Amino acid sequence: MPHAKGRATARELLDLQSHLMLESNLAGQFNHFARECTDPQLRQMCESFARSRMDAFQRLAQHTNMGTIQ
Amino acid sequence: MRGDQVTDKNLCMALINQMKWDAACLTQRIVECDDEHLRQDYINVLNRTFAEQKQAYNYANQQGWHQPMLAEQSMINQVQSDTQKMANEIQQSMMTMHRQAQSQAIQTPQQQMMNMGQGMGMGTFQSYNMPAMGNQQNYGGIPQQYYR
Repeated sequence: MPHAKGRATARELLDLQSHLMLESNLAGQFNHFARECTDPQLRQMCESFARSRMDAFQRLAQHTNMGTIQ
Repeated sequence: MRGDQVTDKNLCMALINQMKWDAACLTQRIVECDDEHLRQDYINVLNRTFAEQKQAYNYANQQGWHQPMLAEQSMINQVQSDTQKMANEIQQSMMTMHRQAQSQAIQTPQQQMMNMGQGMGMGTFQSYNMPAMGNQQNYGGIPQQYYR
C-alpha cells in the first residue's frame, strides 16, 4: 500500500520493521504453543492466533513498499 | 513439579502475556504514526489483538487459572474518598476559572483596551490574574456580550 504522503518518516519505518519482527515472532511462538499443549480447545485457539498474527504481519508488510525515508 | 514445566496453564498465561505486550507495542506505534493508512492498519490489528487477548483470558478464567483478587472494602472506601477529594479540587479550580472569565467578560471595551495597554509592560500578570478584584464595581452593570 502506498504511503499517503509518498514518503515514510524514519520513525515509521523503524517502528514498522520492529513491529513486523514482533508479529513474526508471535506467529512462530503461537504455532509452537499449539504443538505443545494438550487441550484441543487451547490448541485450536493457539493455531487461530498464529494465523491472525501472520495476517497482521502480511497486512503491515505491505507498507514497506513506500518511498525513501526522510 | 517444577514451576517452569510446560503445561497448558503456563502456555495459556504466556499467550495472554504476549498479547498484552503486543497491544502495548501497537499502541505505541499508533501514537507515533504519521501516515493515516498505516495508523489505521495498526488500529485494526490492535482491535483484533484485544479480542484475542480477551478470548484467551476467558479461557484461562474458565479453567480457574486466572482469578483476579477482589478488592477489600477498606481499599474501596479509600479510593472513593480520594476520588471525592479530586472531584472537589477540580470543581474548585473550575469555579475559579469561571469567575475569572466572568469578570473579564463584564469589562467595558475601554477597560479592555486599558488592560491591553498595561499588558505591554510589567502589569500583564496582575491585570490578567486579578480581574475580579480590580473590576468588581462593574459587576452586573454591563451586558455580558464579551463572555464566551
